[in-house]
Amino acid sequence: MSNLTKPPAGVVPKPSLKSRFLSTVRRDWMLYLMFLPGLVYILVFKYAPMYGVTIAFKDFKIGMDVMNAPWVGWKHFADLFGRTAFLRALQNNIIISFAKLLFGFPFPIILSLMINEVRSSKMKKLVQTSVILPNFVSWVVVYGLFYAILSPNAGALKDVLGLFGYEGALPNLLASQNAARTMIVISHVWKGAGMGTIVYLAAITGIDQGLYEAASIDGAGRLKQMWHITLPCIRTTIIVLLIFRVGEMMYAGFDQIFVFSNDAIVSKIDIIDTYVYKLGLQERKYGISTAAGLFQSFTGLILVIITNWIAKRVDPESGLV
Amino acid sequence: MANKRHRKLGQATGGELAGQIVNSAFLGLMVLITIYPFWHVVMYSLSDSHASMSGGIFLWPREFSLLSYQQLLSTRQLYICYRNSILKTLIGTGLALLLTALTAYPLSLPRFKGRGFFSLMIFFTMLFNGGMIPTYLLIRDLHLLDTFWVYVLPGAMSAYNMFILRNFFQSIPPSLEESALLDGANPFQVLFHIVLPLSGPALAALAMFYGVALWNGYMDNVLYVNDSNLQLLQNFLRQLIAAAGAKSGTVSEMADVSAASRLTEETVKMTVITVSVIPVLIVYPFLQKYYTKGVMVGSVKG
Amino acid sequence: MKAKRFLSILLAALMLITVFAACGGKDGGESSSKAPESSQAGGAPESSGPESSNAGENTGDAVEVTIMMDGDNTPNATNMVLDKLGEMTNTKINMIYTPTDDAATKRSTMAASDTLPDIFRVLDVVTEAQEYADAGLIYNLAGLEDKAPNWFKNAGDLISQVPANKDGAIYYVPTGQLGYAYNLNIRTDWLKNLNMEMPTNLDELYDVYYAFTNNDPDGNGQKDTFGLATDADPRSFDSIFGAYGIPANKNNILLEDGTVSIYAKHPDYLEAIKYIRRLINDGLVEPDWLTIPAMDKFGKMWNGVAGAMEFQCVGPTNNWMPGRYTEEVTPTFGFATIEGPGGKKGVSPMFANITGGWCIAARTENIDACLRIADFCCTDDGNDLLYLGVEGEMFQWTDKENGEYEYLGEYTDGAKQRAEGGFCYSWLCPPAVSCEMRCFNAQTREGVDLAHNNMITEGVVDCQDVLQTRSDYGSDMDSVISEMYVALLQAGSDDDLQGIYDEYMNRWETEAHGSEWEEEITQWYNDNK
Repeated sequence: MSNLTKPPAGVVPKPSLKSRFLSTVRRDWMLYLMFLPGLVYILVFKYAPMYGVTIAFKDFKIGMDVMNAPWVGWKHFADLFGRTAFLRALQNNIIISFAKLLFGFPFPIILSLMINEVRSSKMKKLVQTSVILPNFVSWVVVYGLFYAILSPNAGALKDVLGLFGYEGALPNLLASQNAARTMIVISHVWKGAGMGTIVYLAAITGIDQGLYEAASIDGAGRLKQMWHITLPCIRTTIIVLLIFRVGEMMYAGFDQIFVFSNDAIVSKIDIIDTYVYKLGLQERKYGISTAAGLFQSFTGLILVIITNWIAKRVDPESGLV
Repeated sequence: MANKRHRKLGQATGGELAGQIVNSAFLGLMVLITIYPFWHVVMYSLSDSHASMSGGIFLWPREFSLLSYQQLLSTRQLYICYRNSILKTLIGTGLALLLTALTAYPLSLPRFKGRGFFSLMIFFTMLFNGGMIPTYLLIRDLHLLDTFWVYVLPGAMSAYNMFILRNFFQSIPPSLEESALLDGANPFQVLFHIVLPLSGPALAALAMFYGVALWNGYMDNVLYVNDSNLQLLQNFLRQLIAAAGAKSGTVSEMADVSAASRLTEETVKMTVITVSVIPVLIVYPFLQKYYTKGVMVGSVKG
Repeated sequence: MKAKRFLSILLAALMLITVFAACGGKDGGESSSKAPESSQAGGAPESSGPESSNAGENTGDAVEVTIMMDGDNTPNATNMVLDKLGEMTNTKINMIYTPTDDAATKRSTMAASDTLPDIFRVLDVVTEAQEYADAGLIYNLAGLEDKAPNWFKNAGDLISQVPANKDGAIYYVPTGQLGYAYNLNIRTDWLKNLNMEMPTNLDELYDVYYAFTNNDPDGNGQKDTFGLATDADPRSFDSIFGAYGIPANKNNILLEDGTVSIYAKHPDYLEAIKYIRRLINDGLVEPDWLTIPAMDKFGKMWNGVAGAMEFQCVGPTNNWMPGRYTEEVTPTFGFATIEGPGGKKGVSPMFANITGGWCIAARTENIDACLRIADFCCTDDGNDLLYLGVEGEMFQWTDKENGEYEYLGEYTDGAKQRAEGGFCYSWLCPPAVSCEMRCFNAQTREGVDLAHNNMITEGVVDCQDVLQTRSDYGSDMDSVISEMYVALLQAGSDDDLQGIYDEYMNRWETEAHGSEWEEEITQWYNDNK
């Protein structure tokens, strides 16, 4: 595997030093030209508006020019971290994000491996198509479905249990503090797993089939092949996606939490984004919401640097940069 | 090719057979729980509004009715929205794939000087952004407000997808490219004639990501476009869903629900969801082909 | 191999389309969106001069006016109502119709970039209107009252009550509409089936709910009904709180010691909670109240699951009647007023609202046209057009005096009527007495009056000024109170209530800065009473 990703230095036959230099220059000139549109795009659409982060340190009001708004230093950050409700949201955010990472990240990998083992191509297609369907149903509708199933009074679960003779009272899982985070994680895994498999399946099909043939001649079973060939071959993809995911730790799924929230469980599932939304909705606070966003970004950056460093230590070929 | 290998190895031990059964059972369950919500939506949309008001589970339509489809499909605005959304998705995906490939390829080459810096620079944009107001001002200054281009240009490349493609490019054996370079091909020729044709699965996956994001996105419509002739399907859908899906709190305007119609908002909503997902279901199998079949094997050997 | 070729073709085609679109799309884009380009003076101010003269060529003297509204309907981009509105006001209306959830975001983004449309609604009169006025984004209409007499007359004295309209300036014109106060809607056909009378006090109310739940009010032989359908908003027990003298809609009240505070500090708050807990614990309340989506809650009424609901009677007895109800015989309703232990009764008050009003952008180039539109919409004819549609084509009056009308032809279908613009714009600069109110059926008219006459006004402090602590910590304070309400209702036993109450109120006072706010609003009250 390793020789697949290594620079081709040794493979190239050696022409004279001078012509090699010239050809490198020529080749690279074309490469920079190729890179130019992407660079322009990034500079114009991503970096040009970046000055907006300074709003976190300014007293910006509507009608002002961002550049001319007066500086207020760390005031918005102090305000934010001085709110108990924000600290609660931060804590919830970390717990929910971590749980989502722990269960939501490996699941698409396992699912891809399982889909890859399906022999009938019809079945394979059916599975693949159906697992991406939840992705197209918005969270509002998903909540409606969860309600239709779990409602202790009118839900389908009650009817099903009734068939087995259970007539007792059911807990309202959508309003239970103990179950709240579990429901969030389950619905997250369920909705996102299908889209998650797409990259892995693409990576798996990129694997040289010769490796499997060699392994099976050596008598390796399916599980062994999975473990020793498939997983190592897609590990760089896994690590890149993991790094991305870790960078998003401070975002725990606004749309989802927003629709699942109610006053009984908000203390368990209020996250940074939903909290800041409530602030912004009622009080239109650009400074505070930008400060919260900057805090999320910086935390993400630090987490990414750490993950990337660990990944490089463990496996020098992987990692983002 | 992959299938042949499976069949050959298929006649394996009893343990593996058991594995297959467990595997199939699990995936079968997955199919059930992921297909049901959509099934529910479709069946609800095919039910009579009054009959479905009691909620619960829909395995089949209750008092089959096509009224909501009749009504929706006779709405002029729906077709305008459809046209815009399809154009946005097609053009947007094409543009995004092109730009992403052009950017990812140089970054995948170890000899490309500055790739570390550029990668970091692009990665940085995944974490940090300027916020809504500066972005809006930029769009205004570029004269993109109320134009079709505001749908495709600002999102023309996602850093996330760029890195996925770069990673895939890196796993292509460099020997192929080297030999082409020796034959006098330039990097553009290498990219378009050798690297991209080998990247079928990755491009299909990316097309899927871009397409879905473009198809599902509505915030660009809300913020940057005022003209109803440029309205997107998702925005249209959102207005219908908001009316039906609100939780307590926004109740005051709920008193306004129309008495004149035989249809409830809920049924209309389900119908619009169905109608909005169908194009995706039509396109999906075409893309799916590419990441379930190994393209590499063939090309390396053949 | 075939796959590879197909993919290359697909890719090439996509890229070709892109290039094509990039070169040729310009004309395409412009021709299909001509109207917006010119209307969108906002996007490119420097080009608005020639464009507006362009528009003039097309439709005589009609000038373009951009209006932004929020609403969850899907009218066609051009429709009969907008055309008619343009005709009546000699303008060309360019309507920006935004989903309600996104409206605030869109408006503040447009404000921040000075691209506000000519006419727009601001809901948060206290701070948002003030901010815009301070930033010079709203047109000062002082001195222009003659150009829109109906509009200004309709708002009347309310104009001067708006904090942003100080020193004789007029930035914000309120609609003057009273929100509907709540009624306790009770099914009279069920009462009849059970041989019961309309309840008048808390004990009788309990009996009615008990009978609705346990005595098979619909006579179907099954125990499948409940007393009432509610959600997590305290107002779904509005008249119970009212029976203890508590206005439950977040209004501020004057306490005995002279401080002004929130309704949860009312001395009888926990007594009301205990009564509600009894209803819930005895199974008389539909048990999904915490998690139920609004439509499903209403559905409990439409499907005959619940026999009562505290809500604007306009829903149950007017707008939902009879199309929403699924039982074979449409239910009948009556309105109860419930007296509490001390003889108190009432519902949370609604004041002639200054929130919910309209502004004209300072950057408008057609102030006269904007005022014409506002003025016309504020007349009965204007509001009839926006609510019912084009008279003679979409509807006709059968008895205009009594507000009776019928839809014509295909517009009897509500969806058709809305697609052509009926109803969708009815909250654009409406008169205080809207078309909807004029067209109420007799029972609803009676219910609305009953609710208004039954409002708790004693001790309620209506503060419409900017209070700094409210603006800084309002959402924190409100969430503590809502969470407390649910925690109290879910508590294990009545003995725990005081402890829970103390804990949350302590959080409210300190962490959510409630005490600071109390001081500020009490100060405000003493200055303004």
